[in-house]
Amino acid sequence: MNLKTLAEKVDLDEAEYQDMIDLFLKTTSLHLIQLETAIETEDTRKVIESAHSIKGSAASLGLTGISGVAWGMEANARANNLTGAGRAVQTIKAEMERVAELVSVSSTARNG
Amino acid sequence: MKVLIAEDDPVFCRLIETKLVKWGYETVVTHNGIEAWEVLKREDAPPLAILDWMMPDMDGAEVCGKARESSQIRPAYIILLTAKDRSEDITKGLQAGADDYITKPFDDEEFQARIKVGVRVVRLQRLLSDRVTELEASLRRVKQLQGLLPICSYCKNIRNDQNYWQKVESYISEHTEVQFTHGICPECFQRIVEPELERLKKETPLSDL
Repeated sequence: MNLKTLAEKVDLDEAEYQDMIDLFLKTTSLHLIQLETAIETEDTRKVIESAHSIKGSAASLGLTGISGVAWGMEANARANNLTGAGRAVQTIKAEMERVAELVSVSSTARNG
Repeated sequence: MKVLIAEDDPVFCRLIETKLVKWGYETVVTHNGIEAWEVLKREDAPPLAILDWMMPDMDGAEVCGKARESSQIRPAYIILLTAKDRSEDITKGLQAGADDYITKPFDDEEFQARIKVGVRVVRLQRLLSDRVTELEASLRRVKQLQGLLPICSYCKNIRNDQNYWQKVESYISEHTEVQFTHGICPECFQRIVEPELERLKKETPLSDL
């Protein structure tokens, strides 16, 4: 999987898609900080809100892995279950690193 | 056509904006319900609005409700953005006055098609509104005669609103777009004109005719 293929999936050109991914990585980092605090304080409503946002924006960019994990976290939180939420945050972080790596490879390839 | 976007999620907001610009629309971007409401109240408000359901301060449905309650703002075609798994939001949104909805994450073709429906409705509304304005202007120009008109049984003069007996020609000319052109009907010619000519012939010496 490379950035060009992902961009084509959502009908954007590579530069537009990279711009969106940069924005996604920034906003999701903030959501993850909020999530970690909400999990610590067992604030289910905040977990639902942040997981919901990550789920939606990841899905809109074709990042199905991140979206799926966030979906599970939101569904569990709605059922008042925060077990595994911490692990889900770690999985999302790892996925984000993978996406950031794709962006970096793509930028290097395009800019030489 | 100008489209208002109200979306607090920066990624979705940028995505919608990018797509709309690509499809040839002009965009006005806001990030919460209050900002969106301020734009909708403006004289030059976009005729089409895409409002996210979940926004801080004022959600999309509230903006819809306020827009539909207000008689001072030009009605916009409103599309609500809602999560796929929140079907109860769709009903609430439509009841609040939304014209349509799109679920997130959206399918590009469906999104574009729904916006095109909105554009068609906006154009149709404009056309109807222009026609109504034209008709109202025409009606103001057309003078109408209605009700009872007092007319003298002998001279056929008409009593006007100032209680003045007016010649039928001048009264009708004043109250309608009609202009008179005078002639003589065969009956009057026979009854009035011919006897008058006969009288003149008799009274006037032959040498003068």
